[in-house]
Amino acid sequence: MVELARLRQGCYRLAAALFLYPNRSRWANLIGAARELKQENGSLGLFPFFGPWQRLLTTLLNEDCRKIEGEYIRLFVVNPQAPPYESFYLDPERQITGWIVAGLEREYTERGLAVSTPLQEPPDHVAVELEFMAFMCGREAEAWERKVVREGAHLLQSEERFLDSHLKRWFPAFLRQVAVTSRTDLYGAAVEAVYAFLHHDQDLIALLLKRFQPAENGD
Amino acid sequence: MRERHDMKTAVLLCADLERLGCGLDLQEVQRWLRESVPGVSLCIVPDLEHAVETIAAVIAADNIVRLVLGLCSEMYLKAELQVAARRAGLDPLGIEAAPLGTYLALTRSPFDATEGVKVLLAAAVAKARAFSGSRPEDVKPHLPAKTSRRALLTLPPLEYRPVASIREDRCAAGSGCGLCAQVCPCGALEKVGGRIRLYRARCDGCGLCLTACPREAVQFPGLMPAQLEAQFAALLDPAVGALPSRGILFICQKSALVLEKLAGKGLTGSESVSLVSDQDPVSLPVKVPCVGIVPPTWILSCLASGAAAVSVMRCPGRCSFAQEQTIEGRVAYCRELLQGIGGSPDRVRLLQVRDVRKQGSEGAEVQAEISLSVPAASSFRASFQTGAETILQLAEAYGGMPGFSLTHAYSPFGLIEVADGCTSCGVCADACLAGALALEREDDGPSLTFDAALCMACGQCLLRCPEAANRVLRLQPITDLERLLQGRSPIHRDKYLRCERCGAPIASEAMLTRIGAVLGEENTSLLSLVTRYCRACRKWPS
Repeated sequence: MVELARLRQGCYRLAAALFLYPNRSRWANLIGAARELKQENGSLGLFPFFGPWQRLLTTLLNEDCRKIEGEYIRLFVVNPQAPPYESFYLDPERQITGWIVAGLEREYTERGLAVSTPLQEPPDHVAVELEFMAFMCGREAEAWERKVVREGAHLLQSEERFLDSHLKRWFPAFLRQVAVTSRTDLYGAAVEAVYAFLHHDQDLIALLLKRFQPAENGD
Repeated sequence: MRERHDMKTAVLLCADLERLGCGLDLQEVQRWLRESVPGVSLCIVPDLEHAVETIAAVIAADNIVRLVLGLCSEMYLKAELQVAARRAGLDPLGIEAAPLGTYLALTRSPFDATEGVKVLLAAAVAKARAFSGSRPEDVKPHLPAKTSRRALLTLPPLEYRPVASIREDRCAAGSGCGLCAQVCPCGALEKVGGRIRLYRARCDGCGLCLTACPREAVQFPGLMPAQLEAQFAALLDPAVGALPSRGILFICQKSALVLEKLAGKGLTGSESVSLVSDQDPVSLPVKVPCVGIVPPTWILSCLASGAAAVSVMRCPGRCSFAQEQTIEGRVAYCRELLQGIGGSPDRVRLLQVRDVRKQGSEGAEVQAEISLSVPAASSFRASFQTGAETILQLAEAYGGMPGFSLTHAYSPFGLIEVADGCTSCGVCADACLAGALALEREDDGPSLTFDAALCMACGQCLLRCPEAANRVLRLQPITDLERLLQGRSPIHRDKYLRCERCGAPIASEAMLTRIGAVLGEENTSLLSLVTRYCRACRKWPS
C-alpha cells in the first residue's frame, strides 16, 4: 500500500506539473521525470491507464519547449480557449464561483495547506487540485508506513470525496474543451492520460475502501 | 463488420488440450489455421495457463495487436497476463480466450473435437479483430474475495474486468426510461433526475442491462454488437471447419468452469451434459457473463443464420443473478414460436450440467431428432430492431401459417390497443423508446400509428399515459406474424375541431371532450370559448 500510495502521489504530481506554465526549469524537470518513467516501464504497467500514459510520455519527449510555452498561454492564460478552472465548468453562469472557491480553500486549510503565493493561481486551478491529491496520497503513504490502517482508510475516504466532489465532476468537460481547441499533441495527450488516471484512481479507492473500511472502527 | 486481416493476431494453443480425452488433433488445427485464417501467427505452448512470460514475448516479438488464447480452462493467470500485455503494448481487452475446454467436454468424437476447435478459434479471431479499442470506463479493478487486509498491504496485481457504461447520447432516461435500472440485480444503476447513474463499485458485470436497453445505450466490452456479429458469422459459416451441422450453446462462466473440469477428467459428450444425444448437432459454446442476457431475438437469429439448434445452459445450482425464471421463459417462448411457425421446438433447448459423480446416470431425457438445419437466410444480428425480420424469415423458411399469433409472457414483442377515451395527446409516442408509437398530425385530425415490429413490450407508454386510470392504452405480449409484417398502421384516429373565426385546428374532439369533463358544468362559458376558438382568436372576457 505504501508503494501504491507513493506511485499515485508521483502520478498526481506529474499531472499537476503538466498544467503549470512550462518555464525552462519546470520543463527540464518534466522531461527528466518522463524519461525515468518511460525507462522504468514497470509499476505503471500494473494499471489500465498505462497506455494513455505511455502515449503522453512519448509525446512529451518529442515536444519543443518554446512551442509548448506559446500553446500553454493560448489554451490556459490569455483569453483562454480551455480555462483550467473548476468554477468555469461547474458554474458557467458565474453565480456560485465564490462558493466553489471558498469551499476548496477551506478543504486545503483544514489539511494545513494554503495555495503557494508565487504560483498565483486560484484554488480551483486544475494544477492546484491535482497537487492537493498528491499531498493526500503522500500523507496516506506515511500512514501505511506507520501501519496505522485506520488513518490510511480515513485518508482514502477523503481522497474519494475530493475526487467525487471536485476533480471527477469537471475534468471530463475540461478534457473535451482541450481536445477541441488544442493545436499541439501534448495537451490532448495530457488530458487523456490524466482522465484515464483519475477514472482508475476513483475505482481503485472504492475497491480499497471496501476492504479497509471496517478498520475504521479500530481493529 | 468485416474482419480486419491487417490486424496482427497471435493464436496461442495450449499443448495440454490434446490430453483432454477427446482425440483433438492439434497439429491439424494448426495447419488449418495457417492456411485458412489470414494474418495470424501460431504457437503451441505447454501449460499455456501459466506461461505469462512466453505470451508476453510473443506479443512483443511480432507487434501483435490482438491475441487469441486456446486454453483448457479459464483458470489462467489473468492479472499477470493483463500486466504483461500492457507492458508489451497490447490492450488486455483485445485478448480473446476461446472456450475450448468447455467445448471439448461436449464433443463425441475426434472429428467433432478437431473441427469444432477450428471453428471456435476462427470465431475468436474474428471477435478479437472486431474489438475497436477500450476506454478508461470499460474496466474496473477486481480483488479476489479471499484477499485479506494483510495481503493488501503488499498489493498483489489486480485483475481488471469489463464493466458496463452508459452512452448518454443514446440513453432515453430523460424520456422516462429506466429499464436498465429495473433489471440490474446489484443496484448498480439508478435513475436520478432524468439520467442513469452507474455505481461502478456495485457493478458485477452480469451484462443484463445490455440487452434490456432498447436504444443500445449500454456498452459492455466483449459483448459489443460488432464483436458478437463477427463471432457468430464465423461460428455459423459453413466454409469454416467441416462440421456438417452445428448448434450454438449459450453458457455462463459458472457452467463453463464446471464443463472445463469435466473435460479435464476425460468426461465428454453425454457423460457430462444431459439432453445431449448422438443425434444432436455439435454445440459450439458462446460464453456470456450470465445467460439471462440472451434475449429470444439472439436465439432466433442464430437459427435464421443457419444454426441447427440453439441451447441455453442453466447455471449449476442457483443463478447468482436470479435469472432462472427468465431463462426458462425465454426458451419456452422460442420453442412455442417455432412450433407455431412450422419448425421443430427441439431446435431450442435448455441444458443442464449432469452430476457425473453419480454412477449409472440416466440417458438423455429427450432423444431429439434434429434434421438438417434451414439454410441461412441472413447473418446473425445482435440488435433488437432486426428481431421481427428474423422471425419472419424463419416463418417463411418453415412455411409457417401467416395468421400465427403467440401470446406469451416472454414475448419480445407487444401489441398496443387503444380504447375509447384516447385524447391523442401524443405522450405515449414521446415515451415510446423504440419508436413503435408515433403521432401523426394529418389535415383532418391526429392519427396514432403503431409498428408492431418495433414494439418491445416495455410498457413505458402505459406508465406515461395521462388516461392510464381509464386503461385507455392496453399492451399485450403478443408476437403476431401478420402485424409484424404489416409495418406501421393507424390504431387510433380523431378529428380536429376547428376555430369558428379562422378555421385553424384547436384540438382533437376527444381532447376537448376531456377538457369539458374536467372543467365541469360551472365553466360552460370557458368551455365554449376553448372549443369554438383557437388560441390566437380567443378574446378572454375582461
